Amino acid sequence: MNSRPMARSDAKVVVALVFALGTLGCVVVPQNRREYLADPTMQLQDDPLEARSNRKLWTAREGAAGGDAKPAGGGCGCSN
Amino acid sequence: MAGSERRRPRATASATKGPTIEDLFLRFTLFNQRGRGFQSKAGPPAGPGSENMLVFQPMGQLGIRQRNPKWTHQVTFALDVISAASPDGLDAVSSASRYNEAGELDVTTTYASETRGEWSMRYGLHFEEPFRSGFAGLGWVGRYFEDNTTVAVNTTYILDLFDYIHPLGFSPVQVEKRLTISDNVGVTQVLSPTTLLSASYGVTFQAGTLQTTWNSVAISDAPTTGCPNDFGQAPEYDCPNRAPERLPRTRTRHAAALMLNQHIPRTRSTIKLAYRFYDDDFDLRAHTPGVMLYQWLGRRTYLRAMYRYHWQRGVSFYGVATRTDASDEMPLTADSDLAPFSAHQVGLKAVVYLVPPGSVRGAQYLDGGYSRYQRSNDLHVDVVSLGYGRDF
Repeated sequence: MNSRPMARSDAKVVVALVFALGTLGCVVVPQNRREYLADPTMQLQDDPLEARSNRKLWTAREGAAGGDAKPAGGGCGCSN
Repeated sequence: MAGSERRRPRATASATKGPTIEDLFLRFTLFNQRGRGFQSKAGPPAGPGSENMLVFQPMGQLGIRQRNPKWTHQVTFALDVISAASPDGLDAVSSASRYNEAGELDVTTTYASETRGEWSMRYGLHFEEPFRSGFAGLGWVGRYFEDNTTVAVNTTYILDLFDYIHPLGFSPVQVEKRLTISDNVGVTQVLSPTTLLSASYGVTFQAGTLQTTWNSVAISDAPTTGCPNDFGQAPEYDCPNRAPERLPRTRTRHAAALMLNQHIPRTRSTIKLAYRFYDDDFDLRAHTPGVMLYQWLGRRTYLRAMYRYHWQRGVSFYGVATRTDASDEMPLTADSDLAPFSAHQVGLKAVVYLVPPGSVRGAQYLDGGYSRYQRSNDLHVDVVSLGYGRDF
């Protein structure tokens, strides 16, 4: 309920994100070398409906939703 | 096939064909929840009460490409059939606490521009007693460095309308409103022919009635004469020793996530490491690491094992009881979802391809899995899921 200055753990997250963003464009893997990236096990989500179902499980039982490019609350009557 | 969010629309398909179905996903999931929470009235007067619940959840998703191949639609429908949906409520005016159905329609329409990325509009509706919700949003995806870098941005507005139901069961004709605005940005980067990194950040602002109006908090110094020790769900249960939950009128939430995917060609294995950080102005902070291991067994089958850990510091105004002299202005909740706790989830899933990936006929698979979600504050969920997916 209060506005706190950024804590040390917040700063670590920001540094990690900046590092991740800093890698952009450093490596260019040509199309013909992406066979393994196309493997079904390498996709960001295995199955869209399974991801949706998991999100509902966690959103309805944890006060800390979000971070997966989906809204962190609202849209259901499940205490979120 | 799987991970269709990452797949680039096939904008080069023939423009002379009519609308075509691109992919189909079907899933049936069963959630069996057992536990107790202090917001629930289904128990002793001072709590904790039952949070037992059984949910049957059939879902489907269809991908459709229009005659103009730059336009695609992803249509998702989901149904939740819930028994003992809200034992916290035990309301007398609706059946929502004992048996409920929730339905949702979620559509994403995407236009793939040749030069300016993919633009999408997401819209849909959600219904459940006593709750109605509508949502709409815009998104954009850009690809750079020969598709090695993908940047995605989206914003979503959600308007929830729900009937006020007091913990004692009465419901004046009063519609509560809650508005949610969520903005997200994500980046996916190919790091090597076998390594993928993704990072995302989202901020969500909520305003309106944020509490679940039938959630309640025990009043420790109130008389409990006549309050039955009822673990069942008697609708006449109207013990006056409970106060309604009160939450602030606004909430701002931040979440950031990282995921690293590494494929190991020699063993045909994949490992995914994930971490999420969450913080909001209710003073709730959370750390959620996880790992998933995949192992191919032949050309058509793979197994997946997963582990997820969640730790959260509860909201600053969480408590299992209040007193009669407590201020009506102070926020207050006994909701076990907002309490400090940790949770472990372990799961195993098998995926069997009827038509293997890479086939000209389009991949087709069946999967089945089980997971166990165990919270440290007396709640666990057994999840059984069966799925089917097909590319056309």
